[in-house]
Amino acid sequence: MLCCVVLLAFVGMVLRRRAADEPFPPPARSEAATQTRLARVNTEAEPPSHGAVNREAPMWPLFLRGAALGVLVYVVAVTILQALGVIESAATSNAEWLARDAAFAVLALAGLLIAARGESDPTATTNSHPAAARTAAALLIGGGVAWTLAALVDMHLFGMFEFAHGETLHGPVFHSVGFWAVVAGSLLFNRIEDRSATARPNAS
Amino acid sequence: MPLTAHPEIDRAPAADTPAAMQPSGARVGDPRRDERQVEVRVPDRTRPNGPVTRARLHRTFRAIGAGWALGALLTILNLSTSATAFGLGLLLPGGGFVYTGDPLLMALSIAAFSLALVIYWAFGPVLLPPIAWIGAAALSARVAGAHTAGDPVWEDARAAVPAALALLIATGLTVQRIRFARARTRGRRLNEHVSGVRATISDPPAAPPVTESGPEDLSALRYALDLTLQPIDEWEGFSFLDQFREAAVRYQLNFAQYALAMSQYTRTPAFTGYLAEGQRNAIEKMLDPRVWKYWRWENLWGNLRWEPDPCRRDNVMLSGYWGVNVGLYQSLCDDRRYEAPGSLTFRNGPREVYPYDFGSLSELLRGHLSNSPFCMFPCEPSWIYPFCSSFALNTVILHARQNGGDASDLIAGYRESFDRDFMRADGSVVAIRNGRLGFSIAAAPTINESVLVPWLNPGMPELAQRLWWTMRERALDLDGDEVLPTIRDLDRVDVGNYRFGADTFARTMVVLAAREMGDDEAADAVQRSLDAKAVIERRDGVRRYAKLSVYGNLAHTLARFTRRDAMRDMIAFDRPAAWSTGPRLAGAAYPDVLVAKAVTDGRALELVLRPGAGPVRTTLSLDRLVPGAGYVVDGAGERRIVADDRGRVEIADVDLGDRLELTIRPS
Repeated sequence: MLCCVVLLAFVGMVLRRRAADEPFPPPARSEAATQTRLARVNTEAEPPSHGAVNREAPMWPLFLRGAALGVLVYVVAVTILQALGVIESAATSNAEWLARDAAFAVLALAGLLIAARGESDPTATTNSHPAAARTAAALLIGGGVAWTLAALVDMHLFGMFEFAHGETLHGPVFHSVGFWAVVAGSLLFNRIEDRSATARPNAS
Repeated sequence: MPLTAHPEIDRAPAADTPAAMQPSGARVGDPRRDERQVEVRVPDRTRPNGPVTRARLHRTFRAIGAGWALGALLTILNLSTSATAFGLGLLLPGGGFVYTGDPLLMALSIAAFSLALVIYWAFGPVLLPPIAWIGAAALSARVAGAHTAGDPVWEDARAAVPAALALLIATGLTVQRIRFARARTRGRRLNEHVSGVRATISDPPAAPPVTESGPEDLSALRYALDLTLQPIDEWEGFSFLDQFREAAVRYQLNFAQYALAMSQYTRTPAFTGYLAEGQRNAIEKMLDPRVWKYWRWENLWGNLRWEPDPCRRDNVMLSGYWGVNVGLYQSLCDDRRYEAPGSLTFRNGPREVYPYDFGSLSELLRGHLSNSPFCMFPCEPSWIYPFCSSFALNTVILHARQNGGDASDLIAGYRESFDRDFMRADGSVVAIRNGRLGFSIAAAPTINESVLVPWLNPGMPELAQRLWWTMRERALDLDGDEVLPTIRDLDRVDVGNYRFGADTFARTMVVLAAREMGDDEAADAVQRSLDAKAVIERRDGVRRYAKLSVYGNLAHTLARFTRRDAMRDMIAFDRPAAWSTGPRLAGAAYPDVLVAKAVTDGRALELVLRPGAGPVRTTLSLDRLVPGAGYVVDGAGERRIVADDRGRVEIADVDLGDRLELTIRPS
C-alpha cells in the first residue's frame, strides 16, 4: 500500500517530532498516606472544574475570517497580475468581471460578518494558546484554502483568465500559493499546540 | 519455518514445553481448575469475501456502475467535446484529459484521486474521493470546451479510455482470483504444519499468580506513573502530534492505564494508592476537549452530520478503548464511582455537555455492535478495524461481568463476523475494511495481527490462540539470526509518532501477544531482538526506550507485566473474593515507596517495597482491615496495630532503605 506509506511519511515529515524531543514526564510526587494530587473530576452534583477551565474560544471564526481575507487578497493579486500582463483576461466582456468581483466581495463580506458573530461569545476564553500566533495560523489556513478554491473556480470553472502564453511556471506557482499558506499555518498551529501542551503554570 | 523445527512441537510434551502447549496440568503457582485443548486450524474458505462484505461490494459497484453507464452514454452520444470529456472522466479519473491530450493533467487527476482515497482512509472525508473524481471530469470538460478547430481533441480516446477501464476491471478480477487461490493453498499448507498443535484454553485460576516486580520493572512502571500522576490539566511528556490517528494522545492515555492496570493485576492486586490515582487521572484526562474535539470534524466530513458528541456514533477508537480503561479500573480497585450518572461527562463550554457513565457507555457500545451487520463499528467514519471493535466488546464484557449481565450474544456475533468477513483464506487478518463500501486495504501485517491476540483472548480465546499460533508459524523463526524475517516495510513504522524505519513498535506488540499466549520462548526471543537494537534511556529512576513513541513505550510496559492469559483473566473473570475483601495498601508516598508486590489472602497482607528516591522513613496507609481488630506487622520491627472503626490504620516510621518485605496478619 505505497500510497499509505507515502501519506504516513508525509504526515510524519509535516507533523513529526523526534521521539527524543518528547521529554520525560516530570517526576511526580505523592506525599505519604492521605495527601492527594490536584484537580479531580467531581463525580457528585457539581460539574468538573477542569471542564470549565478548558473552555476555549472556537477556532472556526478565525478560519472563516482567514478565508474571507484570502479571497480579498486573491482578488487584489489577480488585479495586479493582470495589470502587469502576467495574466490575460479570457472573459468575453467587462460585465463578467463585474459579476465575478461582486460575487467574491459578497462572499468575503458574508464570511467576515459570520466570523464576527462567532467570535462574540462572551463566555469563551483563550487560555491555552498564544492569541496572536493562533490567529495567524488560522488565517493562513483559511486564506490558503480560499485562495486555492478561488483560483480553481476563476480559471478552470469560469475561465476568467489565463497566464500569458509561454509562461509555463506561472500557473503552478500561482496555484501553489494557497497550498503553502495552508502548510505554513498548519506548522505554526502544531507548534502552538506543542508549546501549550508543555507549558506548566506555577504551582499554587 | 516449520513448527517441527521448534522444541515445543514434540507432540508428547516435554519438561521444557511451554505451558500453553502442555495438554494438561497446572503450572506451579497457577492452579487452574480445568484446561481444554483446541485445534489450531485456519478455516477453509470457498469465496474471498463473506456475505456481508459481498453485499456491500455489490452495492458499491452498482453505484460506480451507474457512473460508468452515464459516462459511457455521454461518450457514445458525443454531444459535444465538453460532454464527451466529462463522460470519459466519469469512466476513469483523468480519462477526460486523455481526450483533451493533456497527459500532465491526466497524471495529476490520477494522483489527486489516489491522494483523496488515502485521505479518506486516514480521516474519513466521505465526499473527497467522488469530488476528486467528478471534479477532474468537470475540469476536463472545461478544458475540452476551450479546444478549437486548430487544437483538436484526440477522438481515439473515446475507444481507448473504455478499453482501459475494461482491462483494469478484468485484471482486477483475475488478480483477485489468483490471490485467493494462492491464499487457499497457503492456508492448506499452514494447516498441515499446525495439524498437531493443540492450544490450551484454561479456566480462570483459583488464585491468579502474583509475582514480584524487579527494579527494572519498577523503573518502567514509573514512566507510566509520572505521566499519569501529573495534575489533570498538565500534559508534559505526552506527545501532541495530531488527534486524528494513531499518534493521538488518547491512545497514550489508554495504554498508560492498561499498563498500570496490568501491573496491579499481576504484581500488586492489594495496592491502590497512587497506582489507582494514576489510572483515574488517565481516565479523566480523556474528558479534556483537546483530546476529543477532533471527532466533530471527522463526523462532519465523514458522516455529513454535525454532532460533536464523541461517543454517540462511530469513533470506537475513543469510546471502546476508554470503556476498557473504566471497566478495568473499577474491577481492579473495587471503585464504582464511574457508575454514577454523569460521572464521565464531556464538556466544552456551556452548550456542549455530553454526560456518560460506565453503564450508559457500555450500553451505547453494545447497541453499536449489535446494530452493525459486521458486529463491529467504525473508528473513522466508514472504516472498521476488528482490533478497535474488540475494545468495545471488551467494555461490554467488563460491564456485564460487574453488573450481572451477559455478553455472550455479542461475543458469538463478533466471532462469526470475524471469521466470515475479516479473515483471509491463508489465515491472515483483514485489518481494515470499509463498512459502507465493502473493500479492504492493506495494513501493517505483523502489527495488526499481534495487537489483536491479547484483546481477543478475553472473549474468544480459541480465536486468539489460532491467530497467535498461525502467525507464529508464518512470521517467527526462533532459530534463525532474525527472529522476525518476514517483517515488512509497513511494519517498520512507529504509529505513535509516525517515525519510519524502525520496527521496535512491531516487536513490542509481538512480545505482548506472546506473553498473553504464554509463549515465553517466543516472547523472550523477540524481546532480545528488540533489546539488541533499541537504546534504553534513564532519568531519575525512570526508564524508557529512546526513539520509541510514548504509545510504544507504554505498550511495552504493558507487555512487561503481562503473563499467560492475564488480559483474559483481568477482563473476563472476577478477581478472587479475597482480593476484594482482604486488607489493602491504600496509601504510600511516590516515588519514595515503590510497591513491588502486594497481595492478600483475605486476612493477611503481604508487601514487598523498594525505595524509589533513596532511603526514607515513611508512612503506609492500610484499609479494609477488620474494624477494631489487632494486627501484627512483621518486617518493620514487629509491631502491633489496631484498625479503626472504618478498618483503616497508618503504619508510621517505616524505614525503607532497600528491598523490604512486610506482612500484616491478624494477631
